[in-house]
Amino acid sequence: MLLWLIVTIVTAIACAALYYAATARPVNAAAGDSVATNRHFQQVLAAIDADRATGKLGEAEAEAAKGELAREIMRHKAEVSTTSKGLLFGGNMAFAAILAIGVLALGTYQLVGRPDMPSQPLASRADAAQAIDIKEAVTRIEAQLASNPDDLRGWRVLAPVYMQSQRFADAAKAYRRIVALGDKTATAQTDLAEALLMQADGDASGEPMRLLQNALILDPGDVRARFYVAGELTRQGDYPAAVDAWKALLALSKGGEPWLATANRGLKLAEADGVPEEGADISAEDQNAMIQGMVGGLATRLADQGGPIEDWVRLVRSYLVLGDKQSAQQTYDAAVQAYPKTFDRADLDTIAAAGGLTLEGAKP
Amino acid sequence: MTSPSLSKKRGWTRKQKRLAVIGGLAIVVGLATTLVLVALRDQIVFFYAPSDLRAQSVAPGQAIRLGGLVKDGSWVRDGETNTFVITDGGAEVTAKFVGILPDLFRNGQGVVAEGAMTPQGDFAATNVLAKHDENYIPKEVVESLRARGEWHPETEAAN
Amino acid sequence: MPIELGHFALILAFAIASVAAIGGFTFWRSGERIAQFVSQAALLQFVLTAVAFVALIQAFIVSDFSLALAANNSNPVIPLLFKISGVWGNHEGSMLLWILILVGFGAMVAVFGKNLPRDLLTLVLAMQALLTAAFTGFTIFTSNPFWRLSPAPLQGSDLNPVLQDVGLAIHPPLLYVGYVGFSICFSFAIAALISGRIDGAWARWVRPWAILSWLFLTLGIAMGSYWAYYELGWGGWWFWDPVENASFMPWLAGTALLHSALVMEKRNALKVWTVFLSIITFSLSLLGTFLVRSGILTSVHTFASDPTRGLVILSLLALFIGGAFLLFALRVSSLRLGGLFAPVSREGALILNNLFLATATGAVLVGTLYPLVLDALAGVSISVGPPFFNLTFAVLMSPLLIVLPFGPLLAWKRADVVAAAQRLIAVAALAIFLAVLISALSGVTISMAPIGLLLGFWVAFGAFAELVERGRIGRIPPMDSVRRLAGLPRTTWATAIAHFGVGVTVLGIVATSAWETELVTTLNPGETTTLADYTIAFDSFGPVNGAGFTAEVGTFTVTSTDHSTRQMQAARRTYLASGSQTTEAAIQTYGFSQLYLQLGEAVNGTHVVRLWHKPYITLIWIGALFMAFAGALSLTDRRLRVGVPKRAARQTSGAA
Repeated sequence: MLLWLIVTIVTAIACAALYYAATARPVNAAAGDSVATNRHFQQVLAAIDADRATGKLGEAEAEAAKGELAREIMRHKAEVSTTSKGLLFGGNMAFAAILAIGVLALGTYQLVGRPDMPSQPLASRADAAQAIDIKEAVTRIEAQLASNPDDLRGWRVLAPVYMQSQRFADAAKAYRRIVALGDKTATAQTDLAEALLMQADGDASGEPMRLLQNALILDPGDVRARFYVAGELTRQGDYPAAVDAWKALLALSKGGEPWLATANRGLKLAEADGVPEEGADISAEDQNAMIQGMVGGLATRLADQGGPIEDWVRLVRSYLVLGDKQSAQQTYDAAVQAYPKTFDRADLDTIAAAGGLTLEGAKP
Repeated sequence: MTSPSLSKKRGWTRKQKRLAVIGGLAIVVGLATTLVLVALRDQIVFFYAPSDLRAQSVAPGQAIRLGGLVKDGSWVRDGETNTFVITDGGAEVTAKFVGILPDLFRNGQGVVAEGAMTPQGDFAATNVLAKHDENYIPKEVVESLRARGEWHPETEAAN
Repeated sequence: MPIELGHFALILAFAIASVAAIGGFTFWRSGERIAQFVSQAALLQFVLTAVAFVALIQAFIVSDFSLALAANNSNPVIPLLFKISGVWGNHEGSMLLWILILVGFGAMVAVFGKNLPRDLLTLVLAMQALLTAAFTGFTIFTSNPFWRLSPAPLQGSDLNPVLQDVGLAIHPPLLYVGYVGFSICFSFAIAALISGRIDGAWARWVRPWAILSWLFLTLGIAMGSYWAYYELGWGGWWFWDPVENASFMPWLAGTALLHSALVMEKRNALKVWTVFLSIITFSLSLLGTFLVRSGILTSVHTFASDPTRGLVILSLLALFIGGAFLLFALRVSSLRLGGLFAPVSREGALILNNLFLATATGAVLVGTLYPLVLDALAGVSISVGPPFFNLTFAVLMSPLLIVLPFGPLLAWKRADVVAAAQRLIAVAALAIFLAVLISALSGVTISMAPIGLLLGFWVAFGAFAELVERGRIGRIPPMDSVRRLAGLPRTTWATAIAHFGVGVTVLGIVATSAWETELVTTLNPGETTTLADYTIAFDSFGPVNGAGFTAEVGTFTVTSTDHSTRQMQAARRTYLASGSQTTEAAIQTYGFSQLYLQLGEAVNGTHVVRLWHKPYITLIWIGALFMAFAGALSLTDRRLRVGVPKRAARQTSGAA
């Protein structure tokens, strides 16, 4: 409301200034002739004399030029006297003009303006403060590490942030640095393996597997290492070994862990030599799992090949429906990477914001 | 065209003077037009995609522009000499370039190289253009890729 | 609130401009009142657009990402200067800057044109208002910089790193002032065609605007050339690419306009041609700003993403340019011919100047548009490269440079070319001597370089022939000469300095093209190489952190022949927000020459460097600075001003 008030006042002032300028003048001022035109003729005349004095104009030519000038002046006078006065711009016309301005301006603003939207400077936005802080901190630590790459603490802070923002290659680099700097504990090796296998889209064969097995030698109770080893063995189709691995993992359970369901499913799958149970009654949980599987197909495709923004929107929305906020966030982050221009993902940002997702750390 | 002898002659009528001036102007404009047309015929550089080069032979040494994508993993730098393969999905041409490639020159990225074919069938580039925008793919490259069905709209969306 | 107020201010300016245009064209004969109305409207348009522009800048400074433009082109981590310059580093923002300058010129006409004939003033301002209304309307409805985002994103995407440069902060505004300034000449031409009054006085009023625009365009082009030179890192200073040509064509046409308007002002001749040039110059400016910047020329497909925008801008260009030429065609027969002159005369020389400048403009236009036309009609992709432009341009400019020193020495109406030639003998002898001497010393083989040098020296020294003559240097006591020189009108000095600048630029171009040396080599830290009397040692290579980017910096020590050493730092930057990379070339200036070093990406720990020695390259831009300075100097000449009291007239006639 305040905006409309200000806007109306501004329009009124501008219109008043125009009306005053037009009507406060006598109408009968000379319309055709002017001081400037006469001055021009005087200056040309002066220039002819000056040019003759400096030799820039011959004697005969100067006379000719003066003759031409005289004819020009006479012609001009004749022209001015015959110039017809056109329509008169009177007070009524001026009033109609400012009325048109007011209607056009306010109408156009009504059409394209957003009077409902306040300004949102970043500094005064609570939601932004956190995101920006993390980003700035990362930048600062990166800069420090660039000049002092042996700073173990810096890498320890940075590595999980990279993991969260899906920068797995950077995370792997950071964890590798941590291991190289002397931290050879099971946790450190599992961290590195995790980053590497995430970077390879879940493929833990090769180096990650070696690291995980190393970690298990150092600490047989490393749940994460056991989980990934079991998963990898299942993925590779080494079912007997997988069964053992899953069992070893389940033995570590104290009950109620979030990975328990997955581990049980993994064990069943490995025991059935990789053939999923058929005809089993589909519980609500399994149904969810099936949806998740379909969503997973889309997710894999998008992760591998990318895709139109609509597909990303669909995937983020599906995750939000499933209540899997973490995956939604990760997908959103990946989508932001694929479409860095805010403009391309107006819908996506809206859905994400509605679902409580944040944009932090999304940009590489 | 405005020789001093012309102006010194007295008794030229206004019309004759005007004709002399206009005639002179016409001659200069005519010459300039001829120059532009001849230069245009000789100096234009045609754009080729690797497949075009296979379809029609281009004389070695003739200046052309060659555009396509840098084949993945083909870029080798040996000292100051760069060797890479330009492909459009249909054919490949090995290009050599001595110097520093632009910032955005990457495997898989669209490029336009200026230069000429060597008698050995390689392309000797004198200049390599990769515009200063990571999303930029030269228009000619897009068109030739599109013509060959190698153009994927999802990458176009980012363009 | 500030953003929406800015938005409304722009819309109000649009409304005022629309009404002022309609009112002005309807009532232009009615005299004082309508003139006051459109003048006031011009001032209001400027104030309101300025408010809108400030609102945008403010939103960028505080990183208000509810503004779509800021979200797409700004970022909280970039330095303040680039937040501000980011406002016009994109289509929508640059449109607003363009409009701001347009209404700025309109306001200047309203302020300085108080003594102009009422009908002319009304028509000029009505035409300006029509341009403002059209382009503001285009901006508001298709490219609105005030579009909002809801909910506002938390992060802005980065400004293109190449654009994060002081060059971007200054270059487009300078260029735009140049482009847009010619709109005043255009509006004057339209006003003259409508009112039917085209005389010497008209040219006197147009000329200061042409000079002002021309001087900014000169600075803008020179600045853009230097910017491309050091920022793109390719070592070239002019590429004849469409964007450059787009700024160069109005410059050529504008230069022609300056000279033909002089003839019209003094001798009342060349009227049709001057009006035609006024229209063509601004048309080329429009072409430059929109056709090229919006990408039609470089890529016909850019508009595919937004066909409305492309279609609207094309229609606007067609409307203004086509409308102007239609009006010209309808009214041209009513123009009366002016003063008589012999072919050999100052007028004749200026016609020659215009002839060559106009054909050069035509050649550049053909070279720029031909690939587009051929692509559209025949579907053949070609490019017209530097060889075409270099050839045609050199051939067309050479005769112009040959006759240039004669021009100022010739008398009006009928001149004695032999007498002028006699006064230039010393100049010719000096130029030939220097050209031969330099060519002999530098061991030039068969090339065009000596001829180029000869032309450069000829023009540079010839520029002062008129000063020597009018100061009677060498014929009267030196102190008297100084007094005479000081008493000369500033326009005489301006002519000499501008022509000298042309010579200096020609010398720079010739020297750097003929004697440039280049070296591409593998060079690693600890190694040394030599190029053209300089020894370059690669000292060290390492990472450095800057504002918003990290860089790998190579440090080099250059030893010149006198054993003095200087440091050079070339870098490859990686921008944190976008991850994109740029090359920062290192440039070291020795006298007028420069050493230019580009560092390639490190592969397997080895580096490639590309080195250029560019002799006298800075003369190219120094010459342009002379030209721009001359333009500014001539603007301070009282005789150019409109509405100076009569007292001043007496003074100037005495001085002249």
